[in-house]
Amino acid sequence: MWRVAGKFYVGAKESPSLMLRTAPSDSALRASQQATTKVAKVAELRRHIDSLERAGCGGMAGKRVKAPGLLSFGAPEIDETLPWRGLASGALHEISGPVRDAAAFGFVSALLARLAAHSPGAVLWCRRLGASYETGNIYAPGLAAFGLDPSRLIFLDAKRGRDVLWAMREGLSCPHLLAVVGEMEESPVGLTASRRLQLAAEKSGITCFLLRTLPEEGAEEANAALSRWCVRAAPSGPVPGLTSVVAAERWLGPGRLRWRAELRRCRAAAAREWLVEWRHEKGNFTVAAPLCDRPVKPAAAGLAL
Amino acid sequence: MRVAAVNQVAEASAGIMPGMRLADARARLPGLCVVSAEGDEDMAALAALGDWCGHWTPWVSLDATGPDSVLGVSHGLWLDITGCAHLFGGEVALLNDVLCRLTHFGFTVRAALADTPGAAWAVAHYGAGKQECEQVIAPGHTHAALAMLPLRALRISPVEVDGLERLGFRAISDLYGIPRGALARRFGDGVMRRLDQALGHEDEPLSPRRPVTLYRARRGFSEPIASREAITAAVHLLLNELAGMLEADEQGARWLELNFYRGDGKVEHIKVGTSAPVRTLSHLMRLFAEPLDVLDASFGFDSVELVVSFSQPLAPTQLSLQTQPATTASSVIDTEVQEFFIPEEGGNEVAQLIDRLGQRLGLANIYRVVLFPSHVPERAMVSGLAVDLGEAAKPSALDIPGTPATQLSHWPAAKQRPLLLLPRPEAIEAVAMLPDAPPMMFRWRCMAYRVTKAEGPERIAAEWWHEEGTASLNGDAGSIRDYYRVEDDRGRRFWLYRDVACCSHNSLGWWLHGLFG
Repeated sequence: MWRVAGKFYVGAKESPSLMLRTAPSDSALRASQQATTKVAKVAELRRHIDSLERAGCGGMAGKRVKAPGLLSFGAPEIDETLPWRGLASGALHEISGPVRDAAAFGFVSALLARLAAHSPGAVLWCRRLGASYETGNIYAPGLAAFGLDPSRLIFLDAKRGRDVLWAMREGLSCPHLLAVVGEMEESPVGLTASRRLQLAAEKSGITCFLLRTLPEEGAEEANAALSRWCVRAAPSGPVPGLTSVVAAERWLGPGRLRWRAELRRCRAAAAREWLVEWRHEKGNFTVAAPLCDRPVKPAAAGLAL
Repeated sequence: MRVAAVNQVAEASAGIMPGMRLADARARLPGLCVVSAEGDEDMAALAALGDWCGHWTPWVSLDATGPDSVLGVSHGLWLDITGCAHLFGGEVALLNDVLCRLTHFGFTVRAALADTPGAAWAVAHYGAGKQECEQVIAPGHTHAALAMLPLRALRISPVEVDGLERLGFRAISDLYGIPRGALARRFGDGVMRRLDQALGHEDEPLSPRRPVTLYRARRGFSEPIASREAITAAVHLLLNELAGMLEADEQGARWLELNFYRGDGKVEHIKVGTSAPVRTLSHLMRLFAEPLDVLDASFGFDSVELVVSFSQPLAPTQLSLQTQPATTASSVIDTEVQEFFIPEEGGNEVAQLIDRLGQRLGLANIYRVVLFPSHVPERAMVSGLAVDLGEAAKPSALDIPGTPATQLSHWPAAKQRPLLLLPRPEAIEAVAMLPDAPPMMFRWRCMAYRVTKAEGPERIAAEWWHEEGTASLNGDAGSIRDYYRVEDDRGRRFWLYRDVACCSHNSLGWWLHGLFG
């Protein structure tokens, strides 16, 4: 731990002196060098701030904090926007979606598949006992289609919403899990409960996803999740393998999975919206159309607190 | 209507006996107070009393034999006290203790102690002894003790008793010298078998009411304990004792039961199951912590017993020194040393998590799923309890015969399958242009969806060669479904099907079965 911190200090002190010493004759070379040093410096500083923020969180919790991991989307456009070059693992992420729309479930399954591809461990999926009548059962062949081995999931049916929260917190205290998913539907979570989940996730380094039903406009409640997403279904993209234009035009079936993923709040990142596409062959996300990659309403944009 | 049981007053003053007609009994004693018999509740009360007798011995069984059970109700308890009597100061003292305590609860009790169950039963029911010491038949004296008892004491049917009496037999001793063949020809071997059992020539096994305990630890208290701290401390002591026993045998507990013997003759049970063999003190303590909170300790507990009814081998683990304790102490007892030495491999921590979750939410609510090689959507997934499947759900753990495990793991994954499958298909109103075409629009749960893209049909028929396969498609061997993947104008993807053929009901309609991610 101290070695890593030391490296950051050296970097932060040396970077300004590096800039002063560079005095090449060629202006173009100089400009490019300046640009690269600038980028490197910004990246270095950003990492430094990250480490400070992380250390601060851990200090508040009074417990050991594991080295911050990350869960990248595999799409540079999204990863670059997020402060950790992807989603921070070992944190709470809220993903909400409209009712009768499985997009949020698909988004989480895709993220879990990416997480499970690299690290061992089981995933705990907590639901309310009657939730399957409203949303349906999680279907193992469907999970397998996302590249997620269904046998790595442990499902749990709890009677009440607060039991789901309790089970999630219990799960986050077990360091051998990979991730914890909790479905809370419309039930309120509250600032305290979500803060507890966030601290537990930070302490154990387990990624935690909170699946919610999208609340009505203006009815959003405060939440301590590190990032908050709203995911909706979007008309599907082209079908993989149909190269000829004629064949693609004649094809009337659905194509690649697409979601409209909206980053509503995130610590140290602006609210954005992307049209993401899931490529199950490679198991990564791509941003489907650059046209859709635009900030949301100006009033809602800005740094989240 | 017949009399099932009478109290001593009625029996002594009017001679009313069990088995008598109620009208006859009323004629003898007009002021008779009659209460209708509740056989089931009597049995429940007897069973509860039997549990409480676990106080003396773990081997208690209900007596369901003998002509006494006129209405199919038995009124006795067997206690196998082999190896237990010395704990209570000898056989006479034990019998005295049993009589004293049960009489104190308000029961009319007769008890006897003998070498064989049959002899004990005979003496308890028909023995003339007034003192406890007369009801204890010393080893080797069974022959003499049974000699003067009536034939009914052999637990033979009233018909057999009648027949024997007609032949001139009055007491059990009359049967001692009789040639066996002659009796067997007339009455079958029932009579001689009962006699042999009573005299110990033939073995008579008693099945214990509660499962046979592999490991058992018990603490009795001179004063009843009621406070939470005292109970926790007692449980901790018992667990410690048990962990030692388990460790010596290299076993881990899977099912544990804590029995609290209450002062008023009730027993409180706490049952705990674990998903993997375990003997870690802190983990077991945590499992018991929650049920201990809701324990009714109003009368105090005389004794506490901890029993392991199912155990599995658990090899000793190598302990290592680590600076970071793995778990934080939740029990009131100081377990510093235990937490300092933690196992190197934390492999069964997931199993411990399942135990903790299951203790509060029910182990039946925690499950894992595996793929099953079937085209029928409802059968393509098999779920099993996480407790049974243990660390990782492997298809082999579910015992699917005839299919190699490697073939199972990704079998139906090649097909497009929804992420969410409704528990049962929901009927939708759909509009299709042609009989074989996918719907243009449909209405599901009061909302209209306009279909823009559709793919299909994928025809799935019931697995007629398989009993479960036919049962899954609405229990209809002839039903055929045409599945379509459709996408609506907002990009939501659904899995619909149309009933093509269906024998059991006529509604050949459209159904919505799943949602794609």
